[in-house]
Amino acid sequence: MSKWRSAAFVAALFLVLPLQAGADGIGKFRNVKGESYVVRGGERTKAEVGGTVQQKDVIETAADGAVGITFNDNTVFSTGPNSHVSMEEFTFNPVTLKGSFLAKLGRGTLSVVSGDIARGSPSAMKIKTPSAILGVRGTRFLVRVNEETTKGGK
Amino acid sequence: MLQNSLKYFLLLSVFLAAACAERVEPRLGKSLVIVLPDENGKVGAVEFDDGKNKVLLDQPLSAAKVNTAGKVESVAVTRKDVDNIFKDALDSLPKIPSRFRLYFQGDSARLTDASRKDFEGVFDDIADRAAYEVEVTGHTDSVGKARYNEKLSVRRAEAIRNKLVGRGIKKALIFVYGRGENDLFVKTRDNKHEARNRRVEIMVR
Repeated sequence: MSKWRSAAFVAALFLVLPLQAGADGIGKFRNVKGESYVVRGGERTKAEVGGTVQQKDVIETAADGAVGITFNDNTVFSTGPNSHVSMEEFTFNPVTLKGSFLAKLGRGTLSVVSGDIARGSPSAMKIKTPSAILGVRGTRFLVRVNEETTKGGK
Repeated sequence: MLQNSLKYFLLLSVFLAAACAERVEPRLGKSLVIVLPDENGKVGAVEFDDGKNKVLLDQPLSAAKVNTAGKVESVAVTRKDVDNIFKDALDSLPKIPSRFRLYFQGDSARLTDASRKDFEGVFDDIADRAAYEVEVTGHTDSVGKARYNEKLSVRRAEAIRNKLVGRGIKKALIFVYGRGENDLFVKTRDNKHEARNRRVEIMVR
C-alpha cells in the first residue's frame, strides 16, 4: 500500500513538473476595471493587467469593478461588479492538456469560455455557486449568484 | 417619542425589504446559468446540479436557476436578460486565445515560404492583446530516429522563439516545448515524409 502510494506520489510529481517550466501562476489578468482586488494568503492587493493569478486566490470586485483573466489552459473568464470568485483548484499539464479546474462564485456575475481542461474530460471543470454545482463540457456560459452567502457555506 | 422612532424604524425596514426584493429578481433565482453559442454558432453543454436534481443545458440561451426552495430548474431567458445582467462581465472578457500552425522544410528549422507569410499574423494577434503569453510547441514527421526528432522539434520551436524575440516579443513570456514525433498531426507509419507533421503550433493568449 505505502509503496503504491509513494509510486503514485512520484508519478504525480512528474505530472506537475511541466507546469513549473511553463507560465508562472495559473493565469493572468488581462482586463481590470475600477476597484478590483486579489486576495492571496490573507493579503488584499489591487489587481493589475499582466499580474498573475495563483491557485487559492480570491478575486473581488466592487460596484465599479470588473476583471478578465486568461488561464494557462486557454480558458478565459471575466467577472462583473460586486463579485467574489475563489480559485479553489487548478492543475494543468501543458503537454497532455489534462487537468482540473474548480472555482466558486460566491456572489456576482461570471462569463466563461472554457479551454483545454474542460475538453479533457466532462468532470474536469466545475463552477460552484452557494447552492449548486456546474459541470462544464464546454464552452461559453454565464453564471450569476444573487443571494447572501455565509462564510464557509456549501 | 419612543413610539414615533419605532414607527420610523418599521417604515424604514419595510422600505429596505422592498428595495432588496426588487434587486433579487426571483424570476431568475438565487443562482443562474445561461449557455451561449460560440462565434460559429456552436453550443457546448453544462450541467447544473443541486445535489438531487440536474438540468442539462445544451441549446443557445438555455438556462437554469436555483429557485427559493433550493431546487435547480429550467428557466426561460432572453438576449435582453443577458445584456442586463452580464454586460459588464462580457465587456471584460479577454480576447480568446489564437492558434497558429506553421510548417517547416524537411529535416530543417526553416519555415516554408507560405508559413513565413502566415507568421506575420502572430504579431498582429499579439498587438491586439492587453497582455500576452506565447506557447510554441515543435513537432516533426516520423522520418528518422525518435531522439533526433525530439531535438529537431525543439530547434524548430526555438527558431520561432528567436524570430519572436528579434521583433520585440519578451523572451520571458514565450514558453517553448518540443514533442518530436510523439504527436503527429497526420497519423502515419514510421519513417514517412509528411509535410503537415513538420510543424510548430503557436498558441497566443
